[in-house]
Amino acid sequence: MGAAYLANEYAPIVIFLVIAVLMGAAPLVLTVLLAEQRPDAEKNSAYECGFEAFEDARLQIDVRFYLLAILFVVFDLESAFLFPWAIVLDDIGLFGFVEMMLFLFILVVGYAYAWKKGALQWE
Amino acid sequence: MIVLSDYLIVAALLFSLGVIGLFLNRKNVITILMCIELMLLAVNLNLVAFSHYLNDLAGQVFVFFVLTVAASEVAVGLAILVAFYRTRRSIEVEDINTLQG
Amino acid sequence: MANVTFPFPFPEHLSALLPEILVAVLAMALLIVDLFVPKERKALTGYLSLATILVAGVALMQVADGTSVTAFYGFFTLDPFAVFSKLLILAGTAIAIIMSLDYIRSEENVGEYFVLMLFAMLGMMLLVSANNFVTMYLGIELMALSIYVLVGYQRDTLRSNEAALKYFILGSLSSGMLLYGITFFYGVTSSLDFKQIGEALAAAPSSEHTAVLLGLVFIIAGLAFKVSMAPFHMWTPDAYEGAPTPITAFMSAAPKVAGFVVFVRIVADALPALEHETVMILSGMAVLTMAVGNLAAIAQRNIKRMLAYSTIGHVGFVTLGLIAGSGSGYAGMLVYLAIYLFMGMGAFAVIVLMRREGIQGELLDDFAGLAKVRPGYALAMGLLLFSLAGIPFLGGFWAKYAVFIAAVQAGHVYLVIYALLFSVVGAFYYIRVVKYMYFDEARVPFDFSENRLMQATVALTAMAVVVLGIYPDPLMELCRQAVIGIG
Repeated sequence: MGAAYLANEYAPIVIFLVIAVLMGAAPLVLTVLLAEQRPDAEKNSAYECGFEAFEDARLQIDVRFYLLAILFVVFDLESAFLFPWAIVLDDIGLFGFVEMMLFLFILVVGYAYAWKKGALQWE
Repeated sequence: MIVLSDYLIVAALLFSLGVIGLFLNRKNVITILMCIELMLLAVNLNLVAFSHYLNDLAGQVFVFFVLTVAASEVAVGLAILVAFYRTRRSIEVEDINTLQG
Repeated sequence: MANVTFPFPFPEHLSALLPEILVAVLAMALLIVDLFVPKERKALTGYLSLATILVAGVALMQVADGTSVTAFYGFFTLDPFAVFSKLLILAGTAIAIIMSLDYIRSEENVGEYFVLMLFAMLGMMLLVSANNFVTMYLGIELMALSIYVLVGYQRDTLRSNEAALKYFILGSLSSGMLLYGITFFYGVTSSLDFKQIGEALAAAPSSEHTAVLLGLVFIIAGLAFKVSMAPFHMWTPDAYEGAPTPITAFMSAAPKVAGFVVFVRIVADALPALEHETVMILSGMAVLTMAVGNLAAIAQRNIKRMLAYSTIGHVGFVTLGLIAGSGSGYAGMLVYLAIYLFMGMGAFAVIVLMRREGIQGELLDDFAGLAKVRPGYALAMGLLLFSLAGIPFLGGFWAKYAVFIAAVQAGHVYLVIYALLFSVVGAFYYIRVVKYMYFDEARVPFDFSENRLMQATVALTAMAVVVLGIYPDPLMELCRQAVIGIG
């Protein structure tokens, strides 16, 4: 383990990163090099069908998205326990299986509660 | 060659950033949630680094627990924050000032 | 983990977890059942929660046999220490639920309230049985997350929301610090088990002293947050003032028991090699805690805030038992926590009774002239406050006596003299409330609604304080028995 190990294991990722950066940067660089440049203050102002901008471009996101996001965060990360469990499922036997079923059952209780409470309802 | 202390230094920097952000931040409560998350991630980095160098799996298992509990913690935090926003109509840190002592 | 064999053997001594399993299953069932209970009959959930606690208590007495058992591959321990503190936690939760039955009749979403209390209780039960940092972390978080929500339970009240937000932010910070400290202990000892860490730390080379000290400081800071020791007490007054009063009573008693029990386990099992440093840090914090709690309480006009600072002061006194580091010190802590559970919760119960039409009953002025209208309330509150002040011969006196004697035996005479000094300062603001009740004219109208359950709670706690004051020996003996084998 060491520099050589790192180079071998992570080389594809480095190459991928380099290509991704080039793909993104190339159009920007090319427009500067190839296109005609005529800077104007008007070009930087907000454009809204010829009117002055009515309101801030930043919108406040509906609070209902937060509710869904909260539920998602909880259930999403609990499922992280499933991956290591699935890999060693053959080794941990029936007890391990039952244990995970119990865990999932507890999650289902939480899900049923959220459902009945109407937390999943949009309106 | 990356040695253990490198990881520990990065984790210590992240942790300090989290703590400093928590206390210096005067603007938005969401930032505070992010700072808390940063602290917990620093903890996870520490645990994984130690676990790798000690060749002991317990640390990585602990990381799983910390991650999932942190998710629940953020969920509870966001819920409290939404409730606070509904009554106070603001999530500025300066507006958390009704209780004084 | 080098010593894992596949397939896993079925965990031994699973029956030691019976009370916890029952509470978990029944609490989840209650969560679902409550969805189908009509709104006007929500008190049913409260009575079912009380039944759950009763079931857990009976199960606990069944599995407790006076020996020390570890279950779940050594992640969970059931010894007399855990059993006794679990009984305290069950009692504290039950009293808090009884206090809530009437208090939250006017609120919405009553169901989660009781279920969350059960989950918080489950977290504390895990916490006092933890002999491993993983179990401890899960217990702490289950307790803390439930209590954050309970503090912010009055969703339309700004005060409640804000208290929950502050408590949440500082609580998460403390969890982060606790975890950061744990990582260093793990890094040095490659274990998360308290006893194994203790052995490994004793053998750790001096080159790792810095990492160990760093871990020690962060762990003590994180735990100090949870039991509200100065300088990590800032959340306490705000959270206590903003929370619904039954929850304040709950927070002032049960989580303190759980927090101190796990503190004892860590100090006794994991830190004996660092005794010198631990005692040094804890002594400094105890001195500061006693000063902050007892001095700041004098300036408060809101009695919930005053009792919050009073709790901080009492935490300082309990810490003396931890500093003593001996069996009698730990036994003294249990005596203190048990008696405080009654007198603290009793005092908060009186505050709940003081709530009346349009008046929260939380200001000192609201108590003025109480003795003329309601001599019974005033007498009970007076007894509870005298006990909190440590006046002989009420329960609170013996609580202080037990920890002070242990600290003197361990050679911390100066700390005890200092503590006595602050007990005297503390007596001032307790007695001031008595003066308001007995010698002042009423400033606000008294038109109480009758509340039999609460009156019974107050009467029982006041009686407990008197009986324990006259006859403390059984409790002291019980606590001595409970700590055999610790440290």
